[in-house]
Amino acid sequence: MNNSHFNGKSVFEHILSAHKKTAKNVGESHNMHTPFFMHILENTLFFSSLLFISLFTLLTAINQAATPSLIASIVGLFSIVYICNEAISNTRKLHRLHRVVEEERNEIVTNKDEEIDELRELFRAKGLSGNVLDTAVLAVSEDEDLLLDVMLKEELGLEPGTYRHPSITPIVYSFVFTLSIALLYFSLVISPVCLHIMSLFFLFTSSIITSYFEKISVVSISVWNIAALISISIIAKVLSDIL
Amino acid sequence: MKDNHSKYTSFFSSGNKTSLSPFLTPFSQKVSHYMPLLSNGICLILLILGALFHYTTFESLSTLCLLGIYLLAGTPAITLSIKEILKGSISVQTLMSLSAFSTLYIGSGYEGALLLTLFALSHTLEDFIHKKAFASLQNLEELQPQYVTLVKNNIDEQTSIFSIKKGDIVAVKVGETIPLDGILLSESGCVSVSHITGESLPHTITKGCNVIAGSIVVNSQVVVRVSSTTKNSTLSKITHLIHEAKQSKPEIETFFDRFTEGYSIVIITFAALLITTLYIAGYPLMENGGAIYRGMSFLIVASPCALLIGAPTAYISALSSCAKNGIVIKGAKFLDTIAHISHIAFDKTGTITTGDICVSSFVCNDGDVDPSVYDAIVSLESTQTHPLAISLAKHASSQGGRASIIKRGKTVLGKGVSGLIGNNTEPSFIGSRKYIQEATMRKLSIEETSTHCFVFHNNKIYTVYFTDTVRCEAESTISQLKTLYKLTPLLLTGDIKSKADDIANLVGIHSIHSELSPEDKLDIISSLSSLHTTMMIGDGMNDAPALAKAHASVSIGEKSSATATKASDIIIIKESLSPLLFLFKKAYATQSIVKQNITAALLIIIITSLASIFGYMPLTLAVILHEGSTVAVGLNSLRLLR
Repeated sequence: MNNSHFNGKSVFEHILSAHKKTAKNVGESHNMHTPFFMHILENTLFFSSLLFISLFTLLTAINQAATPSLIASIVGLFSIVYICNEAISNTRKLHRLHRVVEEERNEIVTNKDEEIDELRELFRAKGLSGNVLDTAVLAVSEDEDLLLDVMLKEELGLEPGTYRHPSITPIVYSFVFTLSIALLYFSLVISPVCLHIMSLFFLFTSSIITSYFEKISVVSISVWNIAALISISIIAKVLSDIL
Repeated sequence: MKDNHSKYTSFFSSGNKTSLSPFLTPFSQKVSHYMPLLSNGICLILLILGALFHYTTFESLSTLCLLGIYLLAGTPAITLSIKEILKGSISVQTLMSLSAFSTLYIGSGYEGALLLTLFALSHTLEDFIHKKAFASLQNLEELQPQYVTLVKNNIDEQTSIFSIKKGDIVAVKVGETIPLDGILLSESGCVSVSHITGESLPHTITKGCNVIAGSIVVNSQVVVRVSSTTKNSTLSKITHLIHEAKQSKPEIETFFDRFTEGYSIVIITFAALLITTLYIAGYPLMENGGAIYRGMSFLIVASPCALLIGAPTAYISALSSCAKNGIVIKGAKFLDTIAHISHIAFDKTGTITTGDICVSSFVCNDGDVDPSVYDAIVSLESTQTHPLAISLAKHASSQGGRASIIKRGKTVLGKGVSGLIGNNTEPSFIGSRKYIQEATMRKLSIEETSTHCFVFHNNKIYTVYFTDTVRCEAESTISQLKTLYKLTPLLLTGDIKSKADDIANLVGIHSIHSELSPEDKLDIISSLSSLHTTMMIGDGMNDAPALAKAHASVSIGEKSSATATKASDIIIIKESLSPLLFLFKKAYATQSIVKQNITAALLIIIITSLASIFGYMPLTLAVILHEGSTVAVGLNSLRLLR
């Protein structure tokens, strides 16, 4: 037994953490390895700087008063919509999961024999046979809660106990958006140059976070992010010309 | 797996509460659990900021703060109210939502926000009060472990408790809970049952002793042969009874449940009439102190929140406190009955007495006692399982008797035992009169009763008298029941008159009914119940009819027969009569607290309603008084947890 492989954990704990890691990877809408808070920071910095710069360019080009308060208010409104969308979609996702677990429980209550057959096949596919298979099926099927847990994992591929509360993401987004909008606002109050420097700083920070956690070259991400910034500014300029 | 596995039952039984969702991480569940508190906290901060901005130049920021409150606290409230109205019912929630949103109409949005915040806050406090009241019941339910260590072929293996069958052997480590009822296989052990019976000192148990599920192992690992399954263990029976108790509501609580709906409609109608009348009478409609203002103020203060919370929290707290002290009550309504009891009937054996038989006297019919008789008794009786044999062996052992080799040992079922002890050439006999007479060919003059047996050893015949021990706390408990609660105690027993009189005199009972059959006991309780509120206390199967007939019935101790336990309304888990005092104290206290709560709630409703109608009640004060009284009543109920 290679102890370093288990990193001081028992085999069971090791498997459990591997399951959680996998669930995190496949369950997240963005399918990434970046920790939750870092991902929100990276996202917020990127979008707020992009929005601030594009609005500044657009409003300045159409000879509107590009006041820091106006731009901050528009970015603020955007962030509220974004946060509400996150909250709604996360809540719906959790409710969907609750419906799934309820349906599966009803299946177990009403068609227990069929569910046990399914379980038997699932275990057989994992290589169990003979007495071991019978014992495993019996042990799981004797307890309906355990059977439900196993079916959710093995049949439906869900990993209970690994999902985040739907309000956590919006709450964290609210804090980070408020902070980043405030920083961009004050930099524009100082001067438009400051705003550009701050936006570039935000983009680089976002790039470094992505590069560190996703193991991608910082140069390539930075270049892509700056390309996005320049593109959005040009699009804003073009739009102002059309308007 | 262990955590996820037990989550489903709690999740479904909670009605799919997000805070118990099996999909959420433990951290998220905690967040969800505290979400109402967090939301209330944010509302409170917004309320303070709103007030500050209102009195400065940032009026628009104050509006934003109020908007935040209406979104956070108002949206869930209005959603619930609409759902209730669609179901065809009107509750306090509807009254509050109506009041809060109506205040916007008269430009008193701040008062509406205050009402929403305080209403949400008082609801969170109510939840806290309920949780606190239920906490000890919950703890009892959580005692049963999900996984146990099964010992099979000298190998320990972790397995689900559901797969354990009768006869399986389980090992329980120090600090762990004995998962199912069973018999101790280890030489000795020490267990604590304080969380089940309220008894603070741990018990020392020896090999062969019964152990109950939920006992916590205190000093060293023990091995137990399981004698029950998860469905019929003591712990699951207790938790099942507690669940039943939670469902059963006392009369007053049922009355308030029925009353609320009609009351809410009356209040809304009255508020509408008040607004119309005041408007017709010339009062301004929209102004501060005008018709709508007074109507809204009335709607808020007349809501029966405090009335509704007053009784249930008191009963739950009392039930919880009793459960914590080893008294399981099958329904809150019995607390009401107990407070009205005037006569209390006791069974004798197993109730006033411990039910543990012991030797009261050991007499030699033929001169002096030959000390070797004790060796003979220990040798012959130590392998027997009959209660008389066990107590006789114990007595002989205490007199210095030592086990010797037995030759030609013989047991005649239901009659007695015999054998040659050590080097004796004459056999020794222990048994009934008939058995001894037949064996020794000697006639015994003493009349045989169930409390005698005879020993023949070395040509001498000994008569052994047995007695049942009176519980040490019986006399003081009965005396306190008489003086503190003015109860009239009675003794109902199937035993002979002289024995019943002796026991009754010892414990201070003057009304004695002896030589009773179960039917006689039932008749006495029936006639007594028709005249007085009567409580019956018993433990045996023969007490079951009387237990079922009495207004309230109590079975005592884990040794109580299953029939008695089923027939009784209250079960005292501890082998003692003293919890009766606690039970009466709690029942009287519950009555008092319920009366205090209802009186206080009614007084506040009446006074503030009148003040609102006559325009002396500012909306802000109305909200504070209404919510304050609700919380105060809830906190008053929590006193019963002590």
